[in-house]
Amino acid sequence: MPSWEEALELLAQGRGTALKRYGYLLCGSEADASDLVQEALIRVFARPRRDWALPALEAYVRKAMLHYHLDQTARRRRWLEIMPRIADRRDSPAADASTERADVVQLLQELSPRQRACVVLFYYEDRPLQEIATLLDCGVGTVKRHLDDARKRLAAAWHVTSEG
Amino acid sequence: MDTGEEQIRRGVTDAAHHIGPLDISLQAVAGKIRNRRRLLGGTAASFGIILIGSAAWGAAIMFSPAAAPNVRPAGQETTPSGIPFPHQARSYACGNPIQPPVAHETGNDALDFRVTSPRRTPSGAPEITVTLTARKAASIPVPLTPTAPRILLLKDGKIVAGQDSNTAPSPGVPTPTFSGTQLGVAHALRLAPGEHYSVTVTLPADAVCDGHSWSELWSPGEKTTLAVIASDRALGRTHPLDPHALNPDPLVVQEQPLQNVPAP
Repeated sequence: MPSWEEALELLAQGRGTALKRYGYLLCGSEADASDLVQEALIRVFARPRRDWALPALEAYVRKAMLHYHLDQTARRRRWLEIMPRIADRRDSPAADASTERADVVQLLQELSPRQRACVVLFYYEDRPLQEIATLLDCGVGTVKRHLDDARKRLAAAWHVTSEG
Repeated sequence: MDTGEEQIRRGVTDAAHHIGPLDISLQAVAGKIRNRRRLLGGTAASFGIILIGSAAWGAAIMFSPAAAPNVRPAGQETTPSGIPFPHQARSYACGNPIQPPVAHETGNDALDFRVTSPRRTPSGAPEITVTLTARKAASIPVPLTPTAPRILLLKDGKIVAGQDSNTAPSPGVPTPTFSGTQLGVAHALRLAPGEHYSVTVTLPADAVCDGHSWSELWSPGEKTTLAVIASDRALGRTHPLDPHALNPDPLVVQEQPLQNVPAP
């Protein structure tokens, strides 16, 4: 069984890029993605564990990234709500909807954090609906609704017809 | 799959694959992890001490009239601060010893841990007060529902008296007092330097094992050890203690003679 230091190195070297890509889709910025991965690694490896197997660790890190990101966005939103005169309410710049090939990450940022998480988990991670629901601590119906809303918004931005 | 879904899937995949490799300093991350693990370990030590009233203790406080024996097994894994890792399920039946490993500890950088001399109550059972004093500003988690700790008396290294905090906390209900600031609803206490948190516990009168008596254990010359034992659930652990697990709870030990100190 590797030590946590060895496991950290193996995970970062072997799966670091994949984790960063996942984080990038969640938060929309390379720098934020690196920070997200780093924070998740710290959270996961700071806890005592009996199993330092890489697949399990990666799953822990991805879950930590998702929850940390959702927590952060919720916290930021609350802060923005109580500071309307100082802060911009928008979390990110608006996408240029008139541009047919608008940047997909920018479009993702137009979604709510949970819609975005559903899109990333479903379309990028290929997670089943039930698993997404478990990760987000909600029902499958809620996940379907988030995905449907996200599809409509993305489709509108892409000028494509969204079905289902 | 419709065109929209294909476009979304392709879009997110393409976007993600334009991202370069992870650019973080593993050394810095490992350093932060060590700090946080050390912090958790330090919290564990203080937590175990503080949670005398909890059903979940990870610390043992031992009093011995004899010179402190080195109870730290050779080759034992240690934390960065040198505290051994006691990570095993323990049994506390009458006549059995406390299973090693145990460690000597009087607190950490932030907290000073003191057990005031036990006082003999009218029933003969000892009353013990444990006090944690902040060396610097500290935030201490405390249980929502304090219960008595598991306190054991040992003679010749074997258990001769004690109570099981997990099943029979009464009547040794701890009475925590503190001079710091209570945070939230008793989830945590914030102590400024010099402020303290203390818990007083009294063993039940019938907590002595068959074949022994309180008078015998208090007799001058008797080498009696008092131990306060904790499980690890206070730290949120849900699996059994494992001697090979990483980052286990420290087992705190403090030795001093079991001598009656009359109440002021």
